[in-house]
Amino acid sequence: MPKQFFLMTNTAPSLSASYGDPVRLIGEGLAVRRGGLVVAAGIDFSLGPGDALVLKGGNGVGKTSLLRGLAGFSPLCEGRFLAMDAKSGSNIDIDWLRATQTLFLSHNNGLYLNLSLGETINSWAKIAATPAETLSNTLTFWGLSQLSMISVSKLSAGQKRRLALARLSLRNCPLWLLDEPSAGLDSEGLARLTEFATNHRQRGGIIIQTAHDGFVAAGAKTLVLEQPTPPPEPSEAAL
Amino acid sequence: MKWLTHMANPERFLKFAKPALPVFAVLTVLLLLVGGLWSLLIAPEDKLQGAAARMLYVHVPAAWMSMAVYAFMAGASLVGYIWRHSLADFAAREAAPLGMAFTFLALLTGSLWGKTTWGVWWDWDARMTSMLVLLFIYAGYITLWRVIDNEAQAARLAAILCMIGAINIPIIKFSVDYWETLHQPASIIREGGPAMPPSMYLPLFVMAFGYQFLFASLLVMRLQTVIWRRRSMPVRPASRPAANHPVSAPQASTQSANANPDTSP
Amino acid sequence: MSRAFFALFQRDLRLASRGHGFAAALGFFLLAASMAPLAFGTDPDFLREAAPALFWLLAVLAALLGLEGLFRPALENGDLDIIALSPMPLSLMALSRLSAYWLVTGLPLALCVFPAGLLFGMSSAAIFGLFTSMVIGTPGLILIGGAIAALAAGLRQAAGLVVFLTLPFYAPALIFGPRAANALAEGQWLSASPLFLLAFTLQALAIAPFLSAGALRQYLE
Repeated sequence: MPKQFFLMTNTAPSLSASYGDPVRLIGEGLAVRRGGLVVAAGIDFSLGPGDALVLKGGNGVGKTSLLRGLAGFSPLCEGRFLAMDAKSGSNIDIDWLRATQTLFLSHNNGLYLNLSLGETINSWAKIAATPAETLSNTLTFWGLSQLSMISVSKLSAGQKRRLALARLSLRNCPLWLLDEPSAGLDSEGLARLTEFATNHRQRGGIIIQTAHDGFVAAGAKTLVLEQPTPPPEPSEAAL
Repeated sequence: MKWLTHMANPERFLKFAKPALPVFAVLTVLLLLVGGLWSLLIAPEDKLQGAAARMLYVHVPAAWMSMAVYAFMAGASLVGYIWRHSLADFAAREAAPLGMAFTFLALLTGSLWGKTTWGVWWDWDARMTSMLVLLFIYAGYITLWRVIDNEAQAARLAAILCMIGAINIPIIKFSVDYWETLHQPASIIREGGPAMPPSMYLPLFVMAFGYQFLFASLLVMRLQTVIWRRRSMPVRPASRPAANHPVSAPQASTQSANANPDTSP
Repeated sequence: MSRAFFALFQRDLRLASRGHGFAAALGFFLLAASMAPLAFGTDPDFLREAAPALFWLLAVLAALLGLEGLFRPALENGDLDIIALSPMPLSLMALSRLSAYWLVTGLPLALCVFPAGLLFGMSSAAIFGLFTSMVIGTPGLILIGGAIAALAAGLRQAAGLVVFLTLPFYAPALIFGPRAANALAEGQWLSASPLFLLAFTLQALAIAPFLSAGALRQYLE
């Protein structure tokens, strides 16, 4: 990765203006299941504009399941997950929030190996109707502008992650759900991510992320999930 | 609250099943006994086909049931899919092997009837062909349930398959009927013609009701078994005391006041 | 929304043309068609008679070959997560992918009847009728098969399952397809068979995107 491409821009590639109406997110007693077993339970949080929440805990405690539950992919089996206007306190439809105001970064990046980097990000930008300037700034910021002809299958794990992170700038969404955002990033990439996330929060955005180790949003609230109690062995009568 | 309504329905079902099952079972035996004796001993023989035409009393109700059970499954799937009513999902799942058995019985008796009437075991007759396709659709539905481990996922995916079937089976049935008219004009007078005398259709209806109660009894028994089996399984922790430990972290200057949202509507 | 759909469709078209599904389908169709006379014998009258039915049967099987991999990559690489959290409904995503797959597989399959028809000594009118019937019918095949492929998108080794679950639903296409080919060859554009074939495709178009979306959502968990 030629260093000078990093140095070309110093600011994160997003608009400096704040997001639209500030949002407050509230979770009360949330629980999620994975494979029929309740893995995370009794989750409470309240996040205003600029806040960040980090879900921590060992393998299998349900960090990703909870994040996917918040994204609406799997049902939250208990509790309430609410969104409201941070100023007026009026309720915001959570499905509307998910469809139009939320970006999700999954651990496998959402990349097709038989597209090139340019085809990938251009198709995202076209779907999101991103202005061309934002797109080129984004590519420069993540050090990807020289790679657009390269097939995604030939990118390194860190470059794939940068590409996936670059998608977050293409739509103007205040809520980011990030699953292990720094996985695979080098120190330079980590610095970019830190700057990027700080900019997002300064604009009034919210981050909910999981972290095993690596990047943690500065000053984030932390929620440590506990290992779920294993279910008792099935009795013979059940079989 | 959701959990309560979820559990309440199987409870209500068990309360209904306990007195209903013996009634259904007695009615099944009674109707099948009366219908069987009536159709085999009292009902008149067919002028052309002789005693072989008595196959009608076994074959026709089975064919009716094969369609009716699928319609039942489609209804149950729709209820299970829209209202996430797990008892409805299980009703569809438990009805499928019964429907498949009725379909198989209809095919088997149809084949035997064909052998005695036309001298061949299989005669690409429209009804028989649609029955055969229906048998494959039942088999596919049962397979889909079996290959998916996660029960909730399997229920919803099987419901979607059942709905594809519910829309397509009438189309298939119609297509096959149309296909047959291209090949062979209906030269043989088939069962269920308009000219059936009461001496024939009365025992037929008795048999049909017998089949329906047979289906109802078996379905209730299978559903009872499902509920009992799930009960004997270890109860999964649905709710635990707060497992998380919010660790207070330094608050960034950008964070707004973290007011308790009790005032929210 | 139409602009976003078009962008998505463009990408799906690119993905479909770079996948291996369509090559497998076309290769299977052409090879199986040219090997069939080895089994049937070389009686030209018989081959000409049998061609529409045989080609329809082969097209049905060929359409099934690549369907299993239609939605699985999107599910595995997380692209479905991205679409699910966007203003684009999953049903439109399914429609985009299914139509891209038809353009890359169904339409070339229909075009394959021109060389294959010549091998079987069909008249140009008969070939054209067969081609038209396939243009009408193959979208229905791919839509129904695609909805069932979506049902199995999260399962391992599901290719056999998709074929097993789908084939019974192809009965109307097998009934009306070859007959529509013959009717169209005789210029009977508005006769029953082509219209029923069209109806089969239209009902599939009406239900498949929604049912695919419903199925894919189950695998997002």
